[in-house]
Amino acid sequence: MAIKTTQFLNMGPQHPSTHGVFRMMLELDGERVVKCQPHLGYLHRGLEKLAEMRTYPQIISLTDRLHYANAFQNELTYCLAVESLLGIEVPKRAQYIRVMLAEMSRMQNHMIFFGALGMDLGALTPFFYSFKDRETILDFFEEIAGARLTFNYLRIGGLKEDLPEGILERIYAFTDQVPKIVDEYEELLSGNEIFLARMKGIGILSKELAINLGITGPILRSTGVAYDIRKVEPYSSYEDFTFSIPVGTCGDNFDRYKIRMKELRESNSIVRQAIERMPEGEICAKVPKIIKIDGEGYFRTETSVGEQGVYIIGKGEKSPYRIKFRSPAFVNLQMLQYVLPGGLVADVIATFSTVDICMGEVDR
Amino acid sequence: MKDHGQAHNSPMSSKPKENNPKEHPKECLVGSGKPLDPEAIKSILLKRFGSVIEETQVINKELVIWVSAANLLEVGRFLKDSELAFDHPRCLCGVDQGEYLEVVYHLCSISRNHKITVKVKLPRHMPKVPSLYSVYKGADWHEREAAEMFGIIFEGHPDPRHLLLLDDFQGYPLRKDFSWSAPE
Repeated sequence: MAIKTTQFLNMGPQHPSTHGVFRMMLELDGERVVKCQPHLGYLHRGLEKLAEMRTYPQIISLTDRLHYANAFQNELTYCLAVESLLGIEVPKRAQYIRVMLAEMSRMQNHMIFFGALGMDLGALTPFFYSFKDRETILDFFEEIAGARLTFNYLRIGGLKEDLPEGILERIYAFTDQVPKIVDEYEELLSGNEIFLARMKGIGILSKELAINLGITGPILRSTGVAYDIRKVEPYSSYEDFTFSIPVGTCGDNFDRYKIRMKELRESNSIVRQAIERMPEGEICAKVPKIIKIDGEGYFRTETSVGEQGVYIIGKGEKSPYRIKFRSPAFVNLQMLQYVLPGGLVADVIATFSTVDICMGEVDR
Repeated sequence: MKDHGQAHNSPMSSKPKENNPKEHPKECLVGSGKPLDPEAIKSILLKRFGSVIEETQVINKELVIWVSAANLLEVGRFLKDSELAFDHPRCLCGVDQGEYLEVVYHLCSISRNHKITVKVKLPRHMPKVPSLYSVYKGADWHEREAAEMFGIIFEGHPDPRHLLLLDDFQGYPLRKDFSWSAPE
């Protein structure tokens, strides 16, 4: 009589491929995963509670700390939420600079994704290639905002200060090279047989499940749904730019990888358009000295991970009564429980890596 | 401005493998139908449910409805399966409103591209609400978070453990009466 036994494998929280501190309890039947139970909260800092006792401008620096690669986009979401509750019209130049910075963040995030994915699968070279290029973008950020990761550069109503002189030309020169850089990336991984074996047909997420789970961003698009908030609900002048939304076909690991590589090119083209058409003028609107909000609203933008939402309830005070950060990675991570069972242990890392999370954003 | 780029002399540079296909499947964006404005959604809901919808309001061009905890599951199923097609759970959070607690559901429709907010008021002493997990799988972690942060009980949730907090954490930190001082 065969006795069916399963064993448990604890992965994390300090596993090098968990992108932070994330722990998975895997129930295994031989080499097959039967069940996956994620454990999180190791990085919980209580950002929502902290925000309740800070004034509206002070919260900008908290949103920086949600996701280290998406700080500009998270700042943007928060600022847009407050601006729309106050009815502030942001000057066109500030809007364009915001778009440029958000898209550079997206490029930088996808570069980290590419490098980390390669490294998780045992290829060290992609990491050096992508981090070299990411460094260039970070240098631009440092010059613009004075910091490399936590910028605190956006303000309610606009920006802290105007761009340094001559930086647009240099960013433009960099964008000239990006298509070649991405070709080089793809040359490194896209045709690699070992890579493809862990990518094609693995970790398939169906369109229906993705929508029902609330998944957004590149992962939702990889299942074939062309849903992008930049197109559906344009904010910060995204309607002025022409770009396409890459979509996948089957929602496997390879699609998720491929979409991000295509998005890198699209983001690059948006940055170029923003620089070519950069308007002159003010960089910050007239904003009351003391910001008080009465009312509520949920606002969302498309970050590199997915839909970043901010839900603000204000009761006429200097600080929000309640603020909720809906972080895309928190929702996207739920897919692991549905995607991993039935696959091999060795595929767990590949699938996890293509979800592209940052635990700071998940745990908040 | 255009000729600032230098040649990228990499040993690996060669012809681009796939050059940016300009795909734009509009049908996926729009899906089965056109977006409805808040008033149209409201009239459909009032026609179907009548007084079950306790209160409605339009905030920032978005419909907000209040329902009681007892009717939430029925309304949720209708929102998802009817022609309104609210298939995508965007966000779910708890709010401490002082005299009562509130659960706020932000839903949107990917196929029709419209949005709705559903709110449920719960008494402070017995904040019980049915879990929407059976309708939206995405409610899973959001509900666990609202449960540990506000002490809201989501009945029928398959896995009601703490999510972000320690397993033995006492108290509900996002409630307004939560004490910040260290326990004695």
